[in-house]
Amino acid sequence: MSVDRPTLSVRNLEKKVALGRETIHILRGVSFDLGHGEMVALMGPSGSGKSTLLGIVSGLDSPTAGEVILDGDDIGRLSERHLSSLRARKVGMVFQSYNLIPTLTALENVQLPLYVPGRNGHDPERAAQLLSDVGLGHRLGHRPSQLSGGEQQRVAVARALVSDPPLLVADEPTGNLDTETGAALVSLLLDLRKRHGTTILVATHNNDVAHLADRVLRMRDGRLVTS
Amino acid sequence: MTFWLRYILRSLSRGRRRVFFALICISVGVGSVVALQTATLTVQNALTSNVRAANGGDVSVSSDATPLSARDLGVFRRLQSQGRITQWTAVYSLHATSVGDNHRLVPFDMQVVAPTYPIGGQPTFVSPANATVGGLLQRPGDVLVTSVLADEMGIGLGSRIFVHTIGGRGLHATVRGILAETSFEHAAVMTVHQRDAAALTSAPPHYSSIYANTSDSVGIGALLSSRFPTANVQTVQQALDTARQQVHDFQQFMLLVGLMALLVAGIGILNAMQSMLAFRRLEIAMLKAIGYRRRTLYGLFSGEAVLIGFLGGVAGTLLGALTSKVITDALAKALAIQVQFTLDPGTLIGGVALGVGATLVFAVLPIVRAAAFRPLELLREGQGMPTRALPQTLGLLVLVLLLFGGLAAAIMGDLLLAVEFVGSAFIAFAILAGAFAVIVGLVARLGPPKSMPIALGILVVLTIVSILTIVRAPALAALLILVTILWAATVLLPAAGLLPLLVAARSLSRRRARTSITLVAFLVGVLAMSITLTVALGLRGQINAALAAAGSTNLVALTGPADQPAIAASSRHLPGIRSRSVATIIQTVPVAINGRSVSAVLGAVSTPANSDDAEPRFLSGVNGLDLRSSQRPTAIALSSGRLLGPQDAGTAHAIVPSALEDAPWSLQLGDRVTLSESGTSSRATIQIVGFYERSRSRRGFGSFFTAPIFADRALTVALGGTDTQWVTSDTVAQSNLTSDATRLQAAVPGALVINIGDLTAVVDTILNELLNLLAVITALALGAGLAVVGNGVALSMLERRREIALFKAVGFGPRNVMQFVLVENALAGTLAGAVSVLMVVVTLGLISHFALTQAIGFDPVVAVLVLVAATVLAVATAYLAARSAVRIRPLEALRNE
Ligand SMILES: Nc1ncnc2c1ncn2[C@@H]1O[C@H](COP(=O)(O)OP(=O)(O)OP(=O)(O)O)[C@@H](O)[C@H]1O
Ligand SMILES: [Mg+2]
Repeated sequence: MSVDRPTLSVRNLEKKVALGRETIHILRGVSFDLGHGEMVALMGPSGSGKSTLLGIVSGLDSPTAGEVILDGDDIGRLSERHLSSLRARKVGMVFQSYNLIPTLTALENVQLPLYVPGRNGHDPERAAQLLSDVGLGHRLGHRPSQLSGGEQQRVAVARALVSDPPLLVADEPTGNLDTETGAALVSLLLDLRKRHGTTILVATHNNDVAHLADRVLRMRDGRLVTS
Repeated sequence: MTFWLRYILRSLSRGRRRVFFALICISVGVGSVVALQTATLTVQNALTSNVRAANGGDVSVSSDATPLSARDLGVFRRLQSQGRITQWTAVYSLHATSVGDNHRLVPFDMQVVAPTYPIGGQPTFVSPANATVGGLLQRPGDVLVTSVLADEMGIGLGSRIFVHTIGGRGLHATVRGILAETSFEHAAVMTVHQRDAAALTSAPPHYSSIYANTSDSVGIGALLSSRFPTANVQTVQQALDTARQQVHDFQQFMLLVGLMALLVAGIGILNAMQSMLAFRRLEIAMLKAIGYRRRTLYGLFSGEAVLIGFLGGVAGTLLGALTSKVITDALAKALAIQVQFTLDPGTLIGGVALGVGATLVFAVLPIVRAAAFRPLELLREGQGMPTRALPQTLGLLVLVLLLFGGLAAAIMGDLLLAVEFVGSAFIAFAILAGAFAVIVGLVARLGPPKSMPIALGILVVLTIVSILTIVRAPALAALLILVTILWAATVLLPAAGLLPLLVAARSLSRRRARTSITLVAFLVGVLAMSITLTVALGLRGQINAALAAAGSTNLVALTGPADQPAIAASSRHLPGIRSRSVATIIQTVPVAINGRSVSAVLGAVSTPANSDDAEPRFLSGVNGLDLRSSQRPTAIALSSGRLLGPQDAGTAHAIVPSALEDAPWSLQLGDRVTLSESGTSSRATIQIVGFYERSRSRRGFGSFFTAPIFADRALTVALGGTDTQWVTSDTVAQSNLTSDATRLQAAVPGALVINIGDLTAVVDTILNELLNLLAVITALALGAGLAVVGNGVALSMLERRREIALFKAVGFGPRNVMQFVLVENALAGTLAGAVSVLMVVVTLGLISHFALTQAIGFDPVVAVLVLVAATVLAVATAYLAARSAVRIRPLEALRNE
């Protein structure tokens, strides 16, 4: 991949959590770069620190030490207020459980990021467009409880992309889906990357997903290991 | 905007059960305030609408301590002839007694009125409606009574009674009208036409009140004040101000009760909002992950709170309007006043605003907490909430307090009072919640005993201690027995039988913070109930017993000189007589001190003329002692000088209250005070040989029948002549008291016999009125408390859906689950009941120790009643709240959440 400036650049990332008197060292010096439009799979045994890493790069959590530069912003130095706005503009997130808002329809769920105060100027048509891109053009008015797991996850993907973020972070997005539906979701991700040029970081236990990625990062005990 | 409105509406409709519980709490809280406000406004109208009639006219002059003589009335005649007053009328009062339809000898005041009375407009009649004084007092013996007196004597319209006054022949009276109370004074007064005066007294009239109408109230008021410096002169405006002030104080008190209910209900609001938002925590975390800031979320959740508050405010206002009629009637009965019920639109609008305000105030804590949910939870789902920082929670509590204080200040219009109330309520709540947290923690530790012998040993000790306390403190024993039973259950029951108890205790302690504050809310209601029950069942008899034992004198007979021999003869032969003493009393006004006129003495020290200290009550009467036969005043302690002895017989030596040593009087030993007898106007000069203080501990009812100055009897007889009052104080065996009192009164119709050992009639009416008030307070407090308990149970049911589903998945039936819930709440209810019993026991102990000579114990019956009622109420509320929750299908609950 030709990269001038990486979309995401992680250097010597450390994360420690105090649990009572003990300190748990979750991330021990993680460094990597993600180039523009790259799709990278993050693999590793359970408890190796994948979710923790994703939390930090998406601005939900803060590192103990190290540097995370997302599209030119140093995440480690941002206040909570700026982190909020960073999440609104630069990161889309997809989780293992779909985390849709049960009281809102599919369309409204996708529109949600557009209503963050100070974020106007977005095309309201875009939400509907994205939903039909993920194959749910006919389910706009349905509530999450009326959709299957796979459909809910596709709504979540549409929501993650609605503000056109440079980075999409997904934590085991296929974890709750059967193999076929999972595969369909991944090809959807690849398709979207092609269309929008989004950089994608996806944590997974699923080898099929890893095969489709441009690159695989492997984690063990809080470190990246060379594969 | 419409997007968010839709979001808010849908969130509320999804959380509708929780919203419903919040609405109940808001309605109860708002309803209490609206109802009490309406009720007090109605009372205010009743007391201030007819204030001119209550004042008797444009200007009233009243002088109870030093009544005016017939000669003093010349001023009014002159003013009328000058055209400065248009009308005037004088009223004089007499002490009287009578046996009512309830066969009790009741003391009261009798006011004798002229045909011109009333000049300030007709008083308000309870019955007959729209009557006039002149229309009712047409034939000899026609009288009017206040509703308080009617209650005390158990009489009504048409009742015939025989009235005794000092030196009178006795009057056969017929009750023609019942007057409404015009103030909070609870006056037991009978009004009679002056044509009947001859039957009541032969003494020259001592006028206690004169009423005048004038267009120049202020000028005439000032003139009369300077003419009668010791009298209380009041214009209609001043009367109105006084009435307003009285109502204001009363209103503040009732509003405090309402605020208390609101505070209790606030706990429910807080719980419901907390539960509602906690339920949505993943959703909230998602909003934050997407990039929403806290401020936006505050706005969003506040929007929900405002909507809930508005609905609750409307419901509460309706509820309040409906119940205010009932409360108003109860209050009117308690205060013995006539009211006209009206709903004030301002109060109704205020109620809706209060609903919004109170909900926002109590939602602050849950909203701030909810907005702080970390989005990271999305990644670590199921790990539970991160533990919140204690300082933040405390800070929020302080914020809630400040806001509630602001709300209270807005409602009461009194910042200081609001701050005091909120501050002390918070401290009390904090202490109680802390205590409950500890107790609940301890109860949760209950379990099968590790060592059977030790457990059995404790059980034996507990049993013995409980049995021993039954004799000493039965109410405490009830609590100890409860603890013993609980302990016995854990020790002796097989594990399977113990399960509900253990599950219950653990569930209580798991949500310890909420359990504790819910218990405090419930406690407020239970405590109100305990107090009401204590008053209703226990206190009445005990107060009477305490009164009976307080002084040795239990029967007093007041007579003029003519009837004194008859009383002396009759009381000597009373079957129950134990001891007897006789004193004389005359009423006096100080005229000069060491030759200087009193007004010059008082004027020199520039004290406001009507101030309490300048009041001449310390010189307003002389007690005549039989010094020759060494009679001594009782229940006093000499502070300087010497007591009077046989050597003072025939002299003008006197001892006076030590308060006279202070400014503005500044009297010293050896000073000479010239007194004028109120009726005869004859004068004498006494010389001070000692100052005394009344001994506090022995201040009984007997001291009402003494005057401030003590001197030789000869002096009083010489001054008072036929005006002299003879006071015969008897000590009679308790068992003979009632019959001896009526016997003595019947033997001497011209005497005033007062049975101070049995003021049952008076105590009863006061207690009944207190009970009415307490019943209102109890209903509100208990209602709010129960709403919070129901709310708490229902919320914990919603939050424990998974747990309940699991219980059912492993094979428990809905009955078993319900059993867990009921045992849990029985435990909580009993706990609240026990703590409230303990508090009442301690309070009563303190009162008996510091304020009364006689101990007032706590009735064990009340203790048991409170425990049972608290438990039953908690269990019943829990049953209603949990009924549908235990029927959930396990599959549904386990899949959904
Ligand atoms: N807030 C925390 N407190 C304590 N320990 C934590 C915390 N966050 C993460 N950990 C620990 O850090 C380690 C890494 O957790 P993480 O969730 O990142 O693993 P993971 O690689 O995502 O595992 P999985 O594949 O099972 O999702 C685990 O041992 C976890 O217990
Ligand atoms: Mg993980």
